Amino acid sequence: SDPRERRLKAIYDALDAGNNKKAIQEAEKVLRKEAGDSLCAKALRALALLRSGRLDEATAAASEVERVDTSEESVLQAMTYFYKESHRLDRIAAMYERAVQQQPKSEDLLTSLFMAHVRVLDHKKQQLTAAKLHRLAPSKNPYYFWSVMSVLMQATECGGELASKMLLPLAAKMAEAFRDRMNAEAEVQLYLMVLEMQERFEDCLATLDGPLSSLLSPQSTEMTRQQRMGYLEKLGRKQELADARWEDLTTEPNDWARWQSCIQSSINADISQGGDYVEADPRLSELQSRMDAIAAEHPGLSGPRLARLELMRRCPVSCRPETALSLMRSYFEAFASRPAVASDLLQFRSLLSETDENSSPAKLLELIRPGLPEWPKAAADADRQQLVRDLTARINYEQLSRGLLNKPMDAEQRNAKIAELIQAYRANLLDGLRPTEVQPADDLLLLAVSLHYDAWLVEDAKQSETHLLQALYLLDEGLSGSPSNYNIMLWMIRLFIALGAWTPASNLYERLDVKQILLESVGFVLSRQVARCGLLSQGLVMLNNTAMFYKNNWRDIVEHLCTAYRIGNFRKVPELSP
Amino acid sequence: MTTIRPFTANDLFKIANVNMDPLTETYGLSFYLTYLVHWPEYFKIAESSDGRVMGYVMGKSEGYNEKWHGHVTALSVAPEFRRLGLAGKLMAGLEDVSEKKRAYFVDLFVRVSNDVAVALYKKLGYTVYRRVLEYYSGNSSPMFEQDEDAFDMRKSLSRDPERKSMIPLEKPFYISS
Repeated sequence: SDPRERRLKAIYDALDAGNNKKAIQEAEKVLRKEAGDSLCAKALRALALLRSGRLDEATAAASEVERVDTSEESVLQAMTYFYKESHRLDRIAAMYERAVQQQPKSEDLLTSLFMAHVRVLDHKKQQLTAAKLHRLAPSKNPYYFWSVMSVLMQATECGGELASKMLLPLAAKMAEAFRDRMNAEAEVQLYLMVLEMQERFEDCLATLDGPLSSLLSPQSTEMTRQQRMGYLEKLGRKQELADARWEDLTTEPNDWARWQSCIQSSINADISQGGDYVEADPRLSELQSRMDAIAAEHPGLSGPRLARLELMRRCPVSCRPETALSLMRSYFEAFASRPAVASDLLQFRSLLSETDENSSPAKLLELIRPGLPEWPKAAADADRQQLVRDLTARINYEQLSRGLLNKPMDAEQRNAKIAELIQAYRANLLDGLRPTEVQPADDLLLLAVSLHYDAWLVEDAKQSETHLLQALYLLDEGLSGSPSNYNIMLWMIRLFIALGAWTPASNLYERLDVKQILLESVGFVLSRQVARCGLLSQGLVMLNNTAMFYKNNWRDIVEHLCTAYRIGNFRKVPELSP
Repeated sequence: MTTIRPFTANDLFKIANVNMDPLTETYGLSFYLTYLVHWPEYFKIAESSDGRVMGYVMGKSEGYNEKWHGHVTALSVAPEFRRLGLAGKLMAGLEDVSEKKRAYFVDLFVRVSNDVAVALYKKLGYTVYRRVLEYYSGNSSPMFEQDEDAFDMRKSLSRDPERKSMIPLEKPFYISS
């Protein structure tokens, strides 16, 4: 093989292996032999220098390459990596502009130029480049639609009259001119996006029902059904929408979003026809009966029953606290041994009465209480599934109780409750769980910890550390029984920080293995506390780690914007754009 | 009751309660975005009535001819929402999309030690097709220091009525990189 090729390959191999020092050496070998003629070797050397952290040298090496206009693919690719890794995405576009001037008829170069503009969100230049591509290859649809999408993105960016009077009509005209030549679902969706922005919802419906619908794939029927309902809603076609939604519900009678839509639709449709609901309205009771019928047809589903409560929330005039109480009671009794029942019900706590004792939160608890199973005890021969069900029912009750009752406990009540919870927790620890499994009784421990925490918040400084420490002892006990319970770990971090103890908090944070996107959604539990805890150098390590994630983010996200254009998933472009 | 809807980019901020479970892997941003852009039809999220994330499923379709199949890349339910049949529901959705795409079967990889997951998939009609050696590489967390084998489990769809794709292979093997 060509010796030059071999020498270049050696550089590539070294770079791929992460051996930057070797890459630099190999590159310099090439440059000595070819008297500095190999632009590719220069570019690769710049990249290797960058990756070695030798920034000044890397920048100098890169400027040498930049001085020469080239359309050599290998150089362009190497420099693209260089610019990405040095966070200079704008330079990629400039480089490809120069390359295209040398080879104005290269589809590959123009495509790379287009993508370079995508990376810096330069929608205007995207449009111009896509137009050139279309002129070069008018039979390739994607280039044309990249143009349309670029106009759409310009409209999204600037809004106002420029968008509505100039850009969107342009995009629409472009799409409509190509209507007969559309041959992909992506193109239809793009057309719909334009129409949606123009609020031409009649035309959206016509498109979904017209000949273009043959381009929509079977796996998109769900999505297009949702789109259709969205258009009906915008057009204010309330009765049609209501009918469509109720039909939708019958296929998934436990889907919460569908229930909410149906309730919304029914209220709107009825009200628009005959005025606001009044109490004992026959239309209301008809709606309630309809819901009850679905509930009766599917006795195991919680959705229809919770929906009755949702109707009350949306339609306050229909809400009698005693009915709400009765519904909540029967919901609890039907489903108590399932998880999340307490949180299901707590969102409706406002439906109960604060003034009337007979429909108060306390009354609800009083009525539920007798039906609860006894506190279970884990024995060797116990039926585990039944035990977990019973535990869940009791946990739901305790959580419901805590969420419903507003008044703080006095010390005696609280201590009694804590003792009860801990006793139940300790009596229900299961043997033989894997380290990745969590003890079902853990929520009892966490409730006890919450009570200690409440006490700490309220009581004066002299006594407060006791509760904090008691909580930590319990959590420590819990963690040995459930080494994977992240809720226990999060609580411990919080309480250690409250004590100013950075190191144990930090150790637990390590154990949680917070990385990638979790740095954003969970990392703050520690990162916000660095200054407070005063261990600044340790804190800095943690913050640097987190900063790396943010620094590299944008560079990664724009690549997916490019992919979205390349494969024609146009809906994702605005979703991923800032 | 649950809302199951398409996963959006912003949902990545809301999945901490699912991903902090030790058996759920948190991948880099690019991994999720690749699936979001290439296979949005497979990427679904389940939310509770009070707006909390209950779980999600992420998958793709690949292969040629009779090997054209759906693949489950990630299926995860938050600990506080287990025992509600949600995993089965999300899997049914993925199988439905795969049927519409005329795939022959669905497959997935699962740690051989994850008996809970293996039992769940068996209940949903999946069988072990083969054992893949050292599929899961060891990492820094104390629970998974060693490499671990995976079961490749499969379920035939209606396009494969004789269930040819589910006939198990005898010998375990390595996936060549």
